[in-house]
Parts: sequence; C-alpha cells; structure tokens
Amino acid sequence: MQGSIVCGQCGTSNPSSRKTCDNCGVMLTGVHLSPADTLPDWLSEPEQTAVHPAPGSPQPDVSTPEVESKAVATELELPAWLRADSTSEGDVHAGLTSAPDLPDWLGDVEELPASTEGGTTGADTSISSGVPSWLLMEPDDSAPSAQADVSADTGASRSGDTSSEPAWPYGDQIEATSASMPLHPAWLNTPDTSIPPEDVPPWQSATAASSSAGEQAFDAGPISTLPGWLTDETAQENQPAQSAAEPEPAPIYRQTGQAEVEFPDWLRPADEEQGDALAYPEGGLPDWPSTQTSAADWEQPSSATGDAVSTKSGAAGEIPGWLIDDTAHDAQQTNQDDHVARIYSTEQAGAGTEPAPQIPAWLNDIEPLTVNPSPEPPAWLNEPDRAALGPAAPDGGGAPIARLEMPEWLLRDAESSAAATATVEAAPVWLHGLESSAEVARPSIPAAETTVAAPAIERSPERLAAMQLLERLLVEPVTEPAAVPVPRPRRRVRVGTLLQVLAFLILLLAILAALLGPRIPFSVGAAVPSSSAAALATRIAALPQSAPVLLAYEWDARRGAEMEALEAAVVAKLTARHLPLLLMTTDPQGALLGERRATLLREGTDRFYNQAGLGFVDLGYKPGGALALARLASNFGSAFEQDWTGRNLTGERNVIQTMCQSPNGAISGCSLDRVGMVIVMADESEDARIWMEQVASAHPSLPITFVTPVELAPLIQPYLTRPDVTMITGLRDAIGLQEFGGSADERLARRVDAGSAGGTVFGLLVLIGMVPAVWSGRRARRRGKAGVWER
Amino acid sequence: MGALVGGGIATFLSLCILSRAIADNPFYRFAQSLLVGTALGYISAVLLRSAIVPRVTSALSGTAGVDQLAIGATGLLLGLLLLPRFGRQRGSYWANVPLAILFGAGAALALAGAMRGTLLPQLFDTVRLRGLTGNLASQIGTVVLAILTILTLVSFTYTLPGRQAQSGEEHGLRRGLRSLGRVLILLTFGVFFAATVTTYIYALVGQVDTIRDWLTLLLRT
Repeated sequence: MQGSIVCGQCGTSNPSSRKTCDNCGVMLTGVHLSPADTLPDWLSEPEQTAVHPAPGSPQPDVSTPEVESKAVATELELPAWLRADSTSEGDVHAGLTSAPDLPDWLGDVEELPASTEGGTTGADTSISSGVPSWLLMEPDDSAPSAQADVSADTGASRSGDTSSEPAWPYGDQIEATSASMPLHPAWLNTPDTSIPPEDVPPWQSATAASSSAGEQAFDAGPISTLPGWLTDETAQENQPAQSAAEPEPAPIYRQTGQAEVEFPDWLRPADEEQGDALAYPEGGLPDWPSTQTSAADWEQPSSATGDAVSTKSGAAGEIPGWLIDDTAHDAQQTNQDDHVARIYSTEQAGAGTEPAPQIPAWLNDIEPLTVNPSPEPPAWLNEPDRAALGPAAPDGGGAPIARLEMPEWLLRDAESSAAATATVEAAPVWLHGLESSAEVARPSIPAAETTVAAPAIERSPERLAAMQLLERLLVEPVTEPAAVPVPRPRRRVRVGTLLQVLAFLILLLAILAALLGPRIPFSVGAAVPSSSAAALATRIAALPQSAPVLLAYEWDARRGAEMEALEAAVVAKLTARHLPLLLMTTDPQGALLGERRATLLREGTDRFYNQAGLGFVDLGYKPGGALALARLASNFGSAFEQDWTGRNLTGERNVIQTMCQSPNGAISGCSLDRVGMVIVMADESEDARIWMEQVASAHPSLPITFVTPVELAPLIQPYLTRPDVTMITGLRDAIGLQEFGGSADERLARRVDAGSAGGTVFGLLVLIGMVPAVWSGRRARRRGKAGVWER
Repeated sequence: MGALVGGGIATFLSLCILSRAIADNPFYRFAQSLLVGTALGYISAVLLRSAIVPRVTSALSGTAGVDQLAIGATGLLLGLLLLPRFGRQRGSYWANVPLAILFGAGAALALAGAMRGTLLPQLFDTVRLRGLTGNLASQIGTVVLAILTILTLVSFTYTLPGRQAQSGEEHGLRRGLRSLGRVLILLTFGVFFAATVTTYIYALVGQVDTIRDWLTLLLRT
C-alpha cells in the first residue's frame, strides 16, 4: 500500500504517485496520508466512493462481484484480533464471556488508561490510526442482545465516558464484560451528527479536514461516509428483530470440518458442547464474506460478470460497485493469477503436510481458488504494496498478513535476531502457516502501526548478574580442576604399635619358656591343695553308688583351655566311681561338647558306660534357656522325652529307673531331688545365675557344683553362701582335683606354670607400660593438650 | 593323619587370630569369619535337629499324643505369626502376639527366679551376719563384708541433704565414705579384670600348647 493524497478540490484520495487528481484533474496539493494514517487501499477505495458522491447520490451497488472479491481479500487480510472479535461475537451470542482468552498484547491495550477528555492518549491515537474501530466493533445481528448483556461495572473511566471514547481498544472485553457500553462508536450506532471529533477515526478526520465535499459528506450523516458493505451492516443492525429471528449459523470450524486445534485458545469457545452456540456467527460478519467463503467471483470462470456472481451467491447484490470495478480492472492482470495460485497451492500443500493446525478453517474454504484460478485477479493484488511498507518492513514486506495479525513486539523479535524462529513458534500454530504462506505469495499489505507499548521488564541487578553468569557458563568451557599435588604422607612407624608387638612377643616368649623349658616352681613351700577341689572330691566320694549325676555343658570352645581340663578332671572323678551320668545342655555349642564326651564314654573299656541307657544318657540340647531349666526343675521326667538322637526315653523303664531313680520305672516317679549332684560347667555368669534361680531355688537341698573358668569365679562367689553349692575354677583346681585322685597330669601342670608365668609377665608389662604413659601425660599437661584421660 | 591335618588347620587358624596382635589383616578377618560362620551354622543345625525335626517327625508318624500335638501346633502358630516381620512389614503387628508371650513369660520367670535365687538369698546372707557365729577369721570377714557393702552402697548416693545442698559443699566424712566406696568398686573391677586376663592367658597358653603338640606330631611324622 502506498500513501495517498486527498484532492483539495474534490476530496478524492489519489495515489501519492499521481500529480493530478483522477477525478477532477486538479493539481494535487492535498493532504498526504501516511501509510500509518491510512487504511489499506482496499479500504480506502470504498472510502472514496463513500465520500466523493454528492449528498443524495445513490449508494453504490454492493452486490457487485467486486465486493465479493474484495471480501475475499478482506477475509484473507483480516488480522487475528478481528477474527477474534468475530468469534467473540459468537460468544456474546451464547451469553458467555471471552475476556480470559484475550492475547497478552490486547490485554495490555486493555489496560491502557482511559482517554483523556476530548481526545485519546498517544497509544490510543496510534492504535486508532492503525486500526479503525469499526473493524473491532463490527456490528452484527447480535449486537443488540450483546449490548443488553454488558454489565455496568466496567470501571468509571469507561462507563462514564464511553460515548466519547473509541470502543475498539477494549475489543473483546467489551463484549465479554461490558453490557451497557455500546460496541460501536456513537457515530456508527446513531445518526447523530454531533459526534465529538475525537471519536472520528483520523483517516476520516483528515479526509474531512481536507475536503469540503468530505465535510458535506460528514454532514450528510455517518452512513454516507462508510463503505457500502458496512452501510449494509448498519442497515442490518437497525433491524435487530429480524436478525434475532434468524438462526445462528454453525461455527465455521464445524462447518468446514477442520479440527478444533486450528484455532488458538483464545479463539476457541469456552465449552465444546456449546460449540454450535458459540460458533463463529455469519451474522457477525457482513454477508459478503460469509457468502464469499466458498469461492471468489474473480476466480470463477464467469467472475467478470455480475450475473454469474448473482447466480452463485445470494448476497451478490450486497457487493459495492467499487469492488466490482476493482475486480474488473484487476481481472486484466493475468500475471497475478499465478501469484494467487501459488498462494493457495502453498496453502494446500501445507494442508497436506500439516493438515489442520496451519490455517483457520474459514481459510480452507477458499481452496477452490486453486482449482480454477481466475485469469483476472483483483486489482489490489497488483498494487505495489511492498513499496508502501516503508522502511519499517523487515524483509521487504514478506509477511504482511502475519504482520497485521501479530503483535508488534512479536514482529520486532522476529526481525531483530536469529531467535525469530522461536518467536514465531511461540505464536499460535496457525500463525506460522499464515506467515509462511504470506511470505511466499501473499500480496504485501502494510501493517497497521499499532503502537502497543511492550511490557517493560525491569531486571534487578541480581537477576542481571545471574543472566550474565548463565550466559558465561554457556559460552565458557568448564574448567577442569587443576590437579593439586598432594604430598604423600610419611609412613610413620607408630611407637605404640611397636610396643604392642614387643609386649606380645615378650608374653609369648614367657609362655613358651614355661611350656618348653625346665619347670619353674612358682609356689613357695609345700603345695596347698585347692579347697574347692577338695570339697568337690569329698562330695563325689560321698555320693551313693547308684545316684545319677547331671552334667550340664553350658560352655563353648572359647573357654576350652580351662574348661576341657576341668571337665576331664570332674568326669574322671565320676567315672572312677561308675556313677550314672546325664548329659544335657541349654547352650547349642554345649551339645557338641556333650556329644564329644558321650563319644569318649562309649569308647571306654570299663563295660559300664558303653551300655546304652545304663552308664550315661545324652539328653542333648534343651531349647528354651531359663524356660527349659524351669521345666526341668518342675518336671524332671520331661527331659527324657527326647535325647540327643531324638529318641523318647520315657517308655524305657531301665533308663528311667536308672537315671531317675524311679522305683517302678515310671516317668512320673522322676524328680530332680533323686539326682545325686548337678555339675554345671558354665563359661558365663548368666548360665550360673539361671541355674541358681530356676533350679537351685526350686530344690534347695540339691547339691550343685559350678565348674567355671577363673574369669567367672568372682561373679559366682556370692552364690557359694549356700551350703550345697560348690565351685571349682581354672586349671589349678583341675590339677587339685586330679591330685585327689592320686594322679596329676604333667602337661596340665606345665600349663598352670605357663599361665602363672604369663600372668606375671603381663603384670610387669602393665607396670612398665605405666612409665611412658605417665610421662606422656605429664608432657601433655605441660603443653596444655592433655585429653580427658591424660588429665 | 586326621590329627595332623586337623592340628594343622587349627594351628593355621590360631596363627591367623594371633596375627591381630600386630595389626588387622586379611588372615585375621578370614579366620574370624570362618569361626563365626561355623559356629552359627552349627547352632542352626542343632536348633533344627533338636527343636523342629523331632516334633515334626512325631506328628507325622502319629506317635505324638494330643498334648504334644497341641503344644506343637501352638508353637507352630506362634512361629508363623513371626513371619510378617519379614518383607514389607505388612501385618507385622501379628508378630506382637508371640513376642508378647515370649517376653512376658520370660520376664515373669526371670523376675521370680532372680528374687528367689539371687536377690533375697544374698541380701539375707549379708543381713544375717551368720559368720559372726564362727571363728575369729570368719567373724572378721563378716564384719569387713558388711562394712564394704555399706561403703559401696554409699558411693551410689548422688544427692545431698538440704543444708549441704544449699552451701554446695559436701560433708567431709560423707565425701570420704563415697570416695572409699568408689575405691572398693574399682578394686572389684580390678579383680574382674585380673580374672579375665588370667582366663585369656590360659587360653593363649592352651593354643600355644596345641601348636606345640601339632609341631611335635609334625616332626615325628
């Protein structure tokens, strides 16, 4: 589109390249309308037709084919906000609000301050200069009902001065929320001639100021200044009853069968089920675009004739004559035919690859254009629109439609950097298709310079620093940490370890010397026999011949060095008298030791203990610990229910009579009191305690002897206050018990000597070790680094 | 030959354990793990053989009486209730039943046994002072035992009378008695430590003697 010059004589708007007026031939010295202040050519031409005719002249015939073809172009060039407006009108029909679906840039416009008294703000002025309000406030049949639904609480600034303020910046919001606000400027709704000048679009003001004929036209009424098709809409608006009676058409995307995803979110109806009710109303548009969506007249073979158009479309009579002329004029330019064919073939190809989401549904209805391209494209396709883009065009006007439909900030991003692709992708999908198609084939249409202030982003210094850091991290490679040479720690030979090893070696040498060397008599004077061993030997000797002795193996191999010798000495004393032995344990490892003793007894050659069930019985492991002992104390016969081999001995009379001293061999006659002695071989104080608590307490007269290592002697000592409780501990008592039998094991005596030597050396090592410990502690105290124990 | 091989294994494992005196090493850890694992395995086998197999066998063979079957069934049920403790702990509260029976019966039994077999007899023996009826040594020993017992109990007092608590200074005699009681406790611990050291030295002697026997057997062969 190029600039135009309004003739000062007749008021006709002429292209800027003309020197003389096309109408009256006068040298053009009129007002130059910049592209920003002018409408697209196709809009300005009907404006001329509306302004130039003298008052009272007949309205141009809107049913001409030119109107239809121009309507197609208009539909193609409709910016998104206009289509949104149309869809919103459908929402208004359904009584729904569409305010949340507003695009951001429109929301920003919406938040602009109200126009000042008697005029508009700069932003409003620029917007109004680029986008005429009648495009947004397009009247339709539903306008009356929508106006009735608009609420009154839209703000004082609007409700108070709505008549003097252009309504189009509020666009959809007015439709959604404002009920009482008129959807059109006052001059569109009422034929009132006292329209404030600020409500008049600038392009009309300029025309009016430059032409007296224009003034006459304004005086004649606003209708006369409108294009014919808009006048027709106004006429329809004046017939609300008739429009309300007409059924609402189905939504376009339903009609065309396109997927719903073709529309951006803010274009979709709020409820899909109400899709029909929320449909894009044909009544919301002028009749000519709705009837023209099938095919443009100029693309038809007979499009040059009005008859063909009239037979094809019932709305042909609504097409203004200027559009017919334009079509007839442009039909001669056949070179644009290929251009148009390229447009829609591109769209069709795009629909093949990316079917639905590329373009809105109503654009697909124009696909028949590609089938029969008209040899006579409309004139507006031949207009040098690219030149009219001016210096603001980034790429020579490659995407005029997208420019119209995209907000300004999005255009700037797309033009300024390589991130344009991402910016375009951020737009609705159908915008990409439009832009790509328009870049290929669409005629250039100057973008309406809607100066919408971009949202001012204020970044704090911290955010900026963070952004710089992120950018630097993206650019700079990650530096590998430099290898810091770690000094190898010196292997310090710890004195403590050496002393520990040295002490162990000394102790080991002392033991070896006592075991292997000549025997050193550690005892001074005559050997004193162990009183404990003597008491046990005396008690064993006092036992009746048939009294059984219960041996409890409550120890394990950890204390084998002492317990083996003790156990061997005790069993030797018992077997010397052929006393019946009962072997049992409540310690799992004791079962192994009891089995070992049973094996040794069977291997005996005294022909007593090798008699199964007579010399000894291995009762084995009795699970339960204290519970097992309690049961043993209360029911001694239960111990015979299972021996080590799993055999039940309760039915064997010989066994029961021998081991339980039952008179008739019945298990009921078994009692622990009939047992001659209980010998508990324990390596833990808990074992001795349990036996005392569960068994000895239940049978106070039962003789009990504890055979323990030296370690347990202090712990069991308190139980020895009872007269029937005795104890032997350690190798020394083992030797003493052997000596009471008249024999002593030389090796056992050497072990006793080795133990005595080892104990002595250990004590010396402790005393010697105290010297460096005390010295180290004193040094630490002097340095003030003493620990808790060193203090 | 068996004694030679067995003695060799025992000697090797004994040396592995004794090497811990120098430093921790893999041989020590190997021998330790082997002994612990062997012990646990043996215990498991003993429990299985002595506690489970006989009852199952008698139940399956029909030799068990009704009472044995009832006891066995009860034990089996309580044992099964312990199984929810494994896995995802779903229904693990069922295990509280056998655990409650086990701990409740064990605690009752232990408490009754401790009162009957340990606390009361030792307390009565200390109070009765039966040694006073014996010879002089016994009488002296009985008196010393009573005094040391009192001193030991005094050392466990952690509060002060009101006047001393306000002044923050403990009476000298009281403090001396408490200190003497602590000394007696330390002496007792010393006796326990000496007894333990003696036992371990005997254990070391026994192992060294076993190694010597094996070396003697090895040299003879």
